[in-house]
Amino acid sequence: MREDHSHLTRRKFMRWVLANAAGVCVGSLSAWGKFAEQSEPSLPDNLEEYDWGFLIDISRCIGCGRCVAACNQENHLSANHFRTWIERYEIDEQNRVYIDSPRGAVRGFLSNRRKTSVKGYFVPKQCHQCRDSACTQVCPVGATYHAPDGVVLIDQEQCIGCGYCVQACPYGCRYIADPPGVADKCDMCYHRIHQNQKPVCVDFCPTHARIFGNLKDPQSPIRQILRKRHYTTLKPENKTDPKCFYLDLNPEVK
Amino acid sequence: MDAAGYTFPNDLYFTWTVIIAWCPYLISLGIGIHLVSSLSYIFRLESLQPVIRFALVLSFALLSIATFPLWIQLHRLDRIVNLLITPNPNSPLTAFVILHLFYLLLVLIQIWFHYRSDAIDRYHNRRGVRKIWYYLVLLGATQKNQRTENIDQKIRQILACISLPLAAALLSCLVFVFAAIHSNLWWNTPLIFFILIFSAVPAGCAALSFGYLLINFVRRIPLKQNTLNTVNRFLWFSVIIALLLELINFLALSYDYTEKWFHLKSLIAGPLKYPYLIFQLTLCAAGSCVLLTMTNLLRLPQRLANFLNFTACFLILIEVLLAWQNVIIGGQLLTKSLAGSADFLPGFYRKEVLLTALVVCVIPYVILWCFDKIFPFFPDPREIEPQN
Repeated sequence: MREDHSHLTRRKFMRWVLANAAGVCVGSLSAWGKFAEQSEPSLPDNLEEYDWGFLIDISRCIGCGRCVAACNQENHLSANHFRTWIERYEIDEQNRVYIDSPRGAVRGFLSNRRKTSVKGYFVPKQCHQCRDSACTQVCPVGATYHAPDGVVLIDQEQCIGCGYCVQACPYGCRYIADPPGVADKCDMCYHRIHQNQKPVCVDFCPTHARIFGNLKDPQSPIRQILRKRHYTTLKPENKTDPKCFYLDLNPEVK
Repeated sequence: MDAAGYTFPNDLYFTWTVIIAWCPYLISLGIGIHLVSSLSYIFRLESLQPVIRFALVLSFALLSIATFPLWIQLHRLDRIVNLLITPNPNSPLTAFVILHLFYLLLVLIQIWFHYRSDAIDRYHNRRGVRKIWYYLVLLGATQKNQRTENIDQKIRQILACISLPLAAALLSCLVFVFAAIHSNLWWNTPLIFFILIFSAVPAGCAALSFGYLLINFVRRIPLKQNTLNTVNRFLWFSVIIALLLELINFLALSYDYTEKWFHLKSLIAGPLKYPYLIFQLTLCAAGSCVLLTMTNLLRLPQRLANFLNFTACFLILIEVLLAWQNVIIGGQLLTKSLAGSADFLPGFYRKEVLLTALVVCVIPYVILWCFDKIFPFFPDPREIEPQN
């Protein structure tokens, strides 16, 4: 052992230390660069060429709740608030409507359906990304805004958490996330859509009830379907011009 | 098809609670009281002169604390400065905050012009630190003569004229914060705009009359009965108009017979039955109207009339508070799913709720007391002769 140590000269030791230090520095810089790349995805320059929209085919939704669970996991949401949720509608012989959404249907609908119901269906809901949104109009500090690609976003560093946008949203899509005490809602998985990925709820839907795409692209599947089939939006009387379209929507859905 | 008992998952929690109602309430009181002083200047109502200083200081005390409930409600109070750094001109809340600052400044300037003459006398009669204090308060303008008195009087009248449109704009912005939200059916009724704006006048008159009677009772200062009668006459007319507006709103809604009426009917007959129908409209609004009609039309003994007026003022103060509570809490009781109503139970010790509301209610009177210690708004009873 002593003999081995005698071979390790000062020069060799310094060379060994420097080589290792250089390796650690290069590795760290590389890792930091990758981390920075991940946390701030670069956006394309041609954002004006996009107008993202959603289409929900109610006849396809089976109420499994996988979209809700995936959304909660992807966006690290608390158990009390939902960026998307599913409602179950049941109608009995007397035309009475029963609606429920246990914990936003994050685990689907475990209880059995009513024995008296004659009709039933599921309605997934989320932010409607309205073109004339009430939330952006009322925000006192301009923290809620329209991105050039048509998505309504929230600047979480700017929001003061007054809750005015929560009051103004007619669809109940917004909430105050506490912590950090600012408004939150569905942003169509903005961190994914410009990485050529779909929103996580679309990816996880087993029946393809959710269709996502660019409304400005005439060849996109969403535009193709909207051109051919009858569709409607929720609460059209509010004149918010929503971009979440529904196929086979029944009038009792608000 | 009727759907019942469902609330959107994000709609289960009340965003705005009891404390928020104190903001429009205090603003209504402050503006209403200030309007009385402004109108007395514009129309040269000599009978109101004894309470003008009190009205201005009370108005300032209420207005200065009025936005505190709003700030308490903010989840990120540390970012409050964003309201002034990056204001959104389309938001009624931004317009309200900025106009409120202007209005507060206007009232402060009016107070300065009303107290200038007194402060000059004190400056000349004091020595040492107190003299420096009055010099600073007067901003160095320590000369007083007939010419400066006339100029002050003109400026007071001009400021009173400016305050009228500014008060209307501030109240409009405040009401617009709620009335502009179409998604809330209870905030979007045909006459809500006029009802809430007009509620400021009886609120202000009642607060002024109530405060004047209370201070006179506590301090045993002789009462200016003529002044009190003038304020109470204003109050009587404004209460009748406010009550009529409320009833017309009801009629308009029921006559329209749209889907909105069915939802609102269930709200009014359900969770708002006691706070709105029984307490606000019947007990407070109609009750105060009856009392004021008695005191203004019947020849009652003076002490009894003053007692009834005092009770009526108290009822109106409660009525306006209930009105704002019922608007803000009631509006959130009706869920956005339009399939039933939510439950609301105010806690007592939590932030934003009753205890904070009570604290906020007390602070204006502390400001008032402090101001009176420095610049009394009523003359010392030992210096004036008692009125017969």
